[in-house]
Amino acid sequence: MFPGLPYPPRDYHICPCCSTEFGNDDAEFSHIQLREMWIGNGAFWFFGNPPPRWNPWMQLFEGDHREAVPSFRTDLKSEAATKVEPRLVMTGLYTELSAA
Amino acid sequence: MPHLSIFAACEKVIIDQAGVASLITLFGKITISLPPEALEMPPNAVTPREWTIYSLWEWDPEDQGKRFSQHLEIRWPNGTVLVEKRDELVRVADRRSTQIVSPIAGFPIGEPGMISIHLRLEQDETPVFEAAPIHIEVVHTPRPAQ
Repeated sequence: MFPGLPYPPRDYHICPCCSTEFGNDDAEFSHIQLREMWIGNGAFWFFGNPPPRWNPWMQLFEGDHREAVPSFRTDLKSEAATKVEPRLVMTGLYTELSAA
Repeated sequence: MPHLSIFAACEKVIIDQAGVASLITLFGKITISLPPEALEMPPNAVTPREWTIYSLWEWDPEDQGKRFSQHLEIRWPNGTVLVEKRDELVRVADRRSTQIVSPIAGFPIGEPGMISIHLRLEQDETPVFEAAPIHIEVVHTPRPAQ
């Protein structure tokens, strides 16, 4: 749920984030279903301008709905920006690694 | 004023019982492999992958009784702010340093380019130091169809 609702989530108030009309839309659908529909339609801000730095996915993380965030079917791989190549340096007992 | 000794972005930080930190998988470049059907990924996409920003501050003796906080910003390649975090630097009496582990719930993947992480130190909410930002390169590569 958007944490900055100007009114309590009832009495036909409308969420400016997802457009849910509380007392009407959530009489027909569960909040989970409404959230899925909002995400399925692109998770766009509904009314006016969103708050500064608003991001729908971060809002879901912060609201403890991590499971609802799509992975966008991507694979994420971390690589070093620095390439490390083992280089043997014969300095007595030491073996050094150099970073290129 | 406390001095920044370590500032890093990584996958995970393990703190042992003695309070010693181990940083796992430092981030430099992130490659996002996209299947053809992921082309509709929005530019504000954040994937559910936890990661961590770690900072270690060394105290000066004259810092006793002063109030410091660190302010973190994660910025998209276009410069807009995605995440903002503020943490008080709490000095423990018998320690000469303070470490701050900032877990981040998702990784920004929607926009290829350089994600930057900015850190500044504030004393009584006035900036007194700004670290050189960390840059993480996000690259999108198409995944071949199977």
